[in-house]
Amino acid sequence: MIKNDPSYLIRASNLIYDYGTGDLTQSVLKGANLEVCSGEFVILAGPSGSGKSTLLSLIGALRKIQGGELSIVGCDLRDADDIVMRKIRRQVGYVFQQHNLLGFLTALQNVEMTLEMFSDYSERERHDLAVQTLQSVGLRRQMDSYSSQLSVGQKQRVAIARSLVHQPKVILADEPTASLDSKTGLQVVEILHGMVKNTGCGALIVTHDHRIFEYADRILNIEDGVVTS
Amino acid sequence: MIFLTGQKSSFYFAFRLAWRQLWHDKIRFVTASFGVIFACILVFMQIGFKNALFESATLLQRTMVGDLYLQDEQSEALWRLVPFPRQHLYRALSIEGVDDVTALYASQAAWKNPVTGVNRTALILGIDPTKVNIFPLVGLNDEKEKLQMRDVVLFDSFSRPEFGPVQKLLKDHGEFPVEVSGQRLDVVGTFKMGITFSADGNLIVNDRTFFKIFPMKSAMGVDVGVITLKNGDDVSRVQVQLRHLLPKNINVLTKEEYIADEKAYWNDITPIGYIFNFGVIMGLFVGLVIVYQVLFNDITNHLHEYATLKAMGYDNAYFVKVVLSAASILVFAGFVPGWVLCFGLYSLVEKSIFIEMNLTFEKSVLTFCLLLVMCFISAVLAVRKLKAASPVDVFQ
Repeated sequence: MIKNDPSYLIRASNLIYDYGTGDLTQSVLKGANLEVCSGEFVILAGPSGSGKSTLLSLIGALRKIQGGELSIVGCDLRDADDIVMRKIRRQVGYVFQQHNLLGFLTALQNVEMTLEMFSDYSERERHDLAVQTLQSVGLRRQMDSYSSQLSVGQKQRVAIARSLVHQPKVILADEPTASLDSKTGLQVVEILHGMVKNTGCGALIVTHDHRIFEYADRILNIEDGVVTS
Repeated sequence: MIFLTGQKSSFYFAFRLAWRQLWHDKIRFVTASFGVIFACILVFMQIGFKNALFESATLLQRTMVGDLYLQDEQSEALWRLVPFPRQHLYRALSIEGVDDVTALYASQAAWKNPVTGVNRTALILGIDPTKVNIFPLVGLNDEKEKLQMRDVVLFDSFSRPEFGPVQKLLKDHGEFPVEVSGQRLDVVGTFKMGITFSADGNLIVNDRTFFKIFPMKSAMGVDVGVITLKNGDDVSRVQVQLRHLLPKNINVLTKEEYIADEKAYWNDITPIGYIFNFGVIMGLFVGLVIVYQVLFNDITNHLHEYATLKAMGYDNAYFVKVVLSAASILVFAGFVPGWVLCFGLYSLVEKSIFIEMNLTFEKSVLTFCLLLVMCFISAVLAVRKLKAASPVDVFQ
């Protein structure tokens, strides 16, 4: 049983996850253990098919866990219903491999979309926070541009701003530098790293990119469904 | 208050997102709006035609001043009347509260155009000239004295132009002869009523002239009995008493029932009502397919982005609101120009068919509601794809 320790933002214990049923069952996670504390920048590496993305989707409350224990920001996900899962998602900042920005919205409007989920911001506060966050990723001047007018790197930075604008307690990133050149990739990682160190949130970054390993407080490996240090 | 304090509901955000999505691709938005405009025009025109049919078919019933009406139960419509014995009409006078009774004779006959000689079908109403006040038609009161004469006819100046330049001939030459069902009659004046789907023109004659035109008909057989009650008398009470007094084959109808009866004939018994209703359904179906296609494509093109929003914490209800908002915007975008276009089309059609077509508030509300339902059904069908989008997909 996981103890509710507030310093742990992510605690996974003996996580099990299978795809398929019967003879076609494929075990992806076979007792994965993982912890991420407040202010920690953790990198999770591993070969394709090792279970990285499945683990990330469980931590991000996108799937229900099948076995083991998982606690996110102090919330036990074992018997969580859809409402609880959605609440957890709102406390997590996702950075995906693809930016997935809405093409019919400007950079600013895309970032504001995150804040529109929360009723506690006024129109002015939403606008100011979104501008401030875009500024922090170096896109103040491009805030009225549509995604078709932005470079790939700029789009990824808008996506990061969208993920971080509500100051999430946990940042999850899935190959955030995969589609970027090395310079832009490092910029993106620096932004995420800076956010963790400045706000005290925790980040779990799944990546193959060895250039960014130097930013990690800890590097975890996952292989055949098991996480190792 | 929500807007004043700066806190806005999820409906506001959903609507704004839908608007931004539609407005961003203006060509697509205009194309989608044309789909709704098309449906809007189809629905408006079909409803307009159907309404014009009912309005024209019940014109006489609505015009007549009477409290109760007697008809043989086998009479299907004004142009398919079955006479009933006149004595039944006079028996009605024995009921307390009945002030007067009027026998009305009606049938159709060929009118020969006095200029071209071409025959057209006219509805001919025969009535005792002293009772002509049951038709409060424009011009009729001035001409009622002339109607006392033998072999004269009053002509409806709203009849189709194929009946000939009757008004001009009257003005230029005074009374002039015409041929109605092979009988020579003199046109002595005009009145204003309006044509129906069953007859292109109307004539009023006195009862003696009527039987000259229709020798097979008898004055003993009344087509419609019109009963007027003394002021303030209870129509329902007299109706019940008359039903007890008269044989079962005589229908005793209030004005509303009489109108409804005529409408029911055109709507239920003839295929015309069905054809117009089918036209409305077809219009809505075409619009439904177009709007569904637009909404579905919008969802499909942004499925990954919407899945990302789900992963961020947005729920299905939000996306339902977005798609319903998009559907509502399309209804407005299509309805307003559709209404304006129909306004012009109605007057164009009115000039062609000589039957009044009014773009009334009720018709506008009905069409708007039908379009709204059409778009909402499209939205509900389209949103299923979005509901099925899993946030897990963004990790694949």
